[in-house]
Amino acid sequence: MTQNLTKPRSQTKLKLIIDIGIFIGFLIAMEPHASGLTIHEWLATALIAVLIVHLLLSWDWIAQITRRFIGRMNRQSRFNYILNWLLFIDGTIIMLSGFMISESLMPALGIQLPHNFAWRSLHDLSANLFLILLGLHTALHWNWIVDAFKRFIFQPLVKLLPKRSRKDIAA
Amino acid sequence: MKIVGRILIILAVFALVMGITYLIVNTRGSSAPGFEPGNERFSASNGAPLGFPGGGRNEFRGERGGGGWLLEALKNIAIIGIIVALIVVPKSWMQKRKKATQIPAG
Repeated sequence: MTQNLTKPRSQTKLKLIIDIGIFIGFLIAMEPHASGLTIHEWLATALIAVLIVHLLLSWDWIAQITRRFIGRMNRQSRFNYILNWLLFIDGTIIMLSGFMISESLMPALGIQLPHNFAWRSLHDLSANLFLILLGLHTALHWNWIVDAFKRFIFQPLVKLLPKRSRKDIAA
Repeated sequence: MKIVGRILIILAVFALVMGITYLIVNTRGSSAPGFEPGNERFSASNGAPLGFPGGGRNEFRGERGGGGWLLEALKNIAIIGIIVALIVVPKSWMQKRKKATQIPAG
C-alpha cells in the first residue's frame, strides 16, 4: 500500500519482512494437504494479527485515500483503494467461513458449530478469489516490491561479497 | 493509544463484514430446499442429514500424497506470477515507449 520508499527505512524494512511473511503464510495456508488441517487453521488465524500490522503500517495511506476518495484522485490510487477493500472483505469472508467449517481450532476452543455446506463452498470460492486479488495487489505494488528487495535484500548481500566479486556483478 | 484505536477500528470493520456475511449466508441458507431451521444443517430428500463424507473434511487428511501439494503450491505462485506479468510487462513497455517518444521531441 505504501508505494514510496521515503518512509523511515526501518518501517519499510519491517513492512517488507511482514509482507514476505504474509505471502509465505498464505501459500502454506492455501495448501492444507501439505500442512494438515490443524496447522492450516491456526496459521490462518495467526495471519489475522500479521494482517493487522500490515494495515497499521499502511494506515497513513489508507486514511489519506479515504479522505480524498470522493474528490479528485488519480485512477490508479482509486483502483488500488477499491482492490484493497475487496482484499479485506474477501479475507474476512475466508476467515469467517473457515471458522464456521473449522474442525480443529473451534473444537479446541470448546466451540461446536453446525455444519453448513454453504460455508464450505464460500470458503473455497473466496480463497480462489483471494489468489486473483493477491496477484493484482502484487502487480500494483511491483515497483515497491522490486525497490524494497534491491534495497534490503540484494544490496546487503552484494556488500557481503568480496570487492572483486562485486565488480563482476556490477559488470 | 493511537495504535490501539486503529486496531479497534480494523477489528470493528472486520466484525461488521463478518456479521453481514453471516446474515447473508444464513438467510440464503435457511431459504434453500432441504434446510432444517433451528438445526442449521441441510438434509437430503430422504431426510438424512448431509455431512462431510466420513464425518470430516477428508480432502485435508492427506490422501493426495506424493508431491501433489507441491504442484498445487507452484500452481498458486504461477497464477500470481501470470497476473503480475500480465499487468507489469505491458505497463513498463508502455512507459518505455512513452519515454522514447518524449526524448526526440525534447
